[in-house]
Amino acid sequence: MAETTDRSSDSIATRVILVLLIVVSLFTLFSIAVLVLISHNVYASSYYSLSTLFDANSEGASAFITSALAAGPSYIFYGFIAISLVDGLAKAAIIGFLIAGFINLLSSIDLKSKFETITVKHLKNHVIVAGYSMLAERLASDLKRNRINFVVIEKSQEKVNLLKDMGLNVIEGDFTDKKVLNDASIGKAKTIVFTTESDFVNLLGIVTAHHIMPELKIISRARSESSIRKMQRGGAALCLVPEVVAGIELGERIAKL
Amino acid sequence: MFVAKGIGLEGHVIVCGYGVVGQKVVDVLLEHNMHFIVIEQDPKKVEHLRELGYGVVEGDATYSKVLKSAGIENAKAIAVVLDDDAKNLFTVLAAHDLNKRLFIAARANDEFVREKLVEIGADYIVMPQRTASKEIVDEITKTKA
Repeated sequence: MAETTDRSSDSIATRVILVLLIVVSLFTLFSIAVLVLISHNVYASSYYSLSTLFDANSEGASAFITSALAAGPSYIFYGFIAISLVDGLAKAAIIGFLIAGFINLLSSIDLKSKFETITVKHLKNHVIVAGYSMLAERLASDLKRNRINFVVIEKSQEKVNLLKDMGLNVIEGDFTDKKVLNDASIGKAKTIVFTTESDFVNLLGIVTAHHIMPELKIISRARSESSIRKMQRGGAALCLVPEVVAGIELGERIAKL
Repeated sequence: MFVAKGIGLEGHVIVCGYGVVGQKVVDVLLEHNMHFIVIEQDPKKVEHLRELGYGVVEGDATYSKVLKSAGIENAKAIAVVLDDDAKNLFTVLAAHDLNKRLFIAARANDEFVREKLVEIGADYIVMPQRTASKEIVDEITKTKA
């Protein structure tokens, strides 16, 4: 996302610069042509046209025009127009360059993502949802409904962009990495929930999180019941297999018939 | 207690699919001493179930013929807990056609599948992710207090 916005503002800036450059050089050529017509002196015409462009030696230029005007008074009007046009355009070009540079600068800062990291850094007593699986999707909406602050850590950039569009706090990265967990302010978190479909990855996350912050409450999804004991030994407080929970629920309902 | 064939059974429960959810359903039914019969496609699982002495029908639960051989006309309830939402839909549809009084419990992964299942005659629906999510939120809010 951030990349595409950068690219589009970049292309706007370059387009502005290009158009201005073309217009300015066309009018400089026009000015040279007019002055050559007046004075029949190619060198002096080019010199004064270009120096007007950089706003230098304008007295010399007007003196040159006055002297040139003596040669052919019928061109007086065109001469003045050419010089003032080049002068004005040069100034417009300079302003254009400045604006384009400013746009570039703004887009390179990428205020939005800065703002997002700041909000995550200021989270307190929040829940970290590690991995965005089907369970996490459900969990995210439940947490939102209960007004519990949470941040999602997700590896895949595609999902991260999707979540950002949904307005959720997201951190892109691997949650088995200590640095990523610190980015999610694990030190101030209340709970961390591992939701991936892989027991191994979840276990790795549990061990890492438990090592950083032993008092943190760890909840994890498990795929097989045999993993639960390992996860609990690794420091998880609650492990559940959604399918097992659902199976028991369904069985109990039928048993009530 | 366990009959190998569904025909002749009455008031029993049919469990379609012996996956993680199906296994738990069977466990609960055993606990409550209820008669049941499992429909399963995987020959290995079927053999395992036969070794355990459970009633099994080997085949695809989406076919009416298979459901009939599990004695659906005389069954009390059916638990449709296959992995695939589409297959669950088909099975519920077939089951509802064969026995209108049947209590149909089904598993759904997607919210919109849940609505569809209710429309075509399912009486009770479980969503593993939803149930688990609720438990997790309960656990989180518990520590808050």
